[in-house]
Amino acid sequence: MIDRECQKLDDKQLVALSLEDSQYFYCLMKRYEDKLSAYVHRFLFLSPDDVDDIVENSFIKAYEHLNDCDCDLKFSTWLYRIVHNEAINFFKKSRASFQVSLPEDNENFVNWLVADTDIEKETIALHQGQEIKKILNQLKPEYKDVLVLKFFEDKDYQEISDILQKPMGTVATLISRAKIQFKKIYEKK
Amino acid sequence: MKKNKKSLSDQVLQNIQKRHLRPIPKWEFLAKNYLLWLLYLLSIFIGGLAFSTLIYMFKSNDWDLYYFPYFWLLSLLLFIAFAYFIFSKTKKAYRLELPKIILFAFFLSLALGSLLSFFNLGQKFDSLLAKDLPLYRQVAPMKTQVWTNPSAGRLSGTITQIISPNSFELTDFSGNQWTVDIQKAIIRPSIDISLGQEIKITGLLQGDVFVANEIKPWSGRLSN
Repeated sequence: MIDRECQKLDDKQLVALSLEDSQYFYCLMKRYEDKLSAYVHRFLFLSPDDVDDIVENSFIKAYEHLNDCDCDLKFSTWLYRIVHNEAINFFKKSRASFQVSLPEDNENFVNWLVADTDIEKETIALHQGQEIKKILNQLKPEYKDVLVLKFFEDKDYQEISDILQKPMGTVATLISRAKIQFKKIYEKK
Repeated sequence: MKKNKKSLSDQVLQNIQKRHLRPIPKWEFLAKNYLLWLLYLLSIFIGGLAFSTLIYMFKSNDWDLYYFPYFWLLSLLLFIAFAYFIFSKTKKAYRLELPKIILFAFFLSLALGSLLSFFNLGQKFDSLLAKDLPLYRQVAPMKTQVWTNPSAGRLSGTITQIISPNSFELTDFSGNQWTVDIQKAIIRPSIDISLGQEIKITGLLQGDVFVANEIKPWSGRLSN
């Protein structure tokens, strides 16, 4: 019954109801669990169990901090922020490998690469997937962070700023520097 | 064993119910937020007070280069740093660049300090600290202390006896008497070497005699 009811409600309404009844929070979790698991999997090279642990801890933290949910942000942005921070904490504690896992469709990323660099689309197409992944994994963690959010999670600059809690100008600079570094590494290869 | 992803939400819900977890009450977050802003405003205010006292110390020392109120400058910088630290803990602070946050706190303190200075609050604060804190004057000396330091080449007081055309007796503000040799001294035009004149002197203590380099009026600006 609640499932059907949940479908008609937006995130904000579900948050308000979750404060009274945790069943509504279940609806929020169902809405985001796959997306968040995929996000964690994308930028940390972890086993499915570890990914689940991070997402679980994030949901519990989110539930406990529901009253602190920033009304100016989208709920999903706030949730991504929690997951990102949990993932970083996990990475620091376990010294997990900070490696990217690419989705099959990375056309956005390729188009971005081609836009301002000398790298031709055909060249990238030849070496797509593994090669891009190798280079991405050589980038600094803060560069990978923004690239994953921008091109694989489809977040805009404001959302990335809110997730990473960095000024928008800094986000833009990081993306720009990531491109430069990517190009340098690509050309060396 | 791989966890079934579809049951992740079920597990979390079970966990929440088993551990009787509840959302942290809103008032706790509000209280933390208000406290942060209160601390921020307090830091700005104290920074402003430090600046107004700094202005007072400069003024009371006739904007003299022999004295720089380092203590109050450091206090100002410390409270601005603290204000920045507190601000960085607020919810939306990350949207602003670091230099902007610091500059904003700095100019806010300066503006407030200038306003407090207009109402002589710097002087009152200085007097209050001098009265209640025994060591305060060691870090923020008054003009008389700065200018009663013959071993450092600074002397001040009232001319109490003319000994000769090139020397006179000076009684400092602590009541001590000094013989001052002015043979090679630069005497500011506004100075009249006569009994009762209050002056400040830079020079060198040689034995019992203070050999003056420059004689300036006790009150007023350095250059005239």
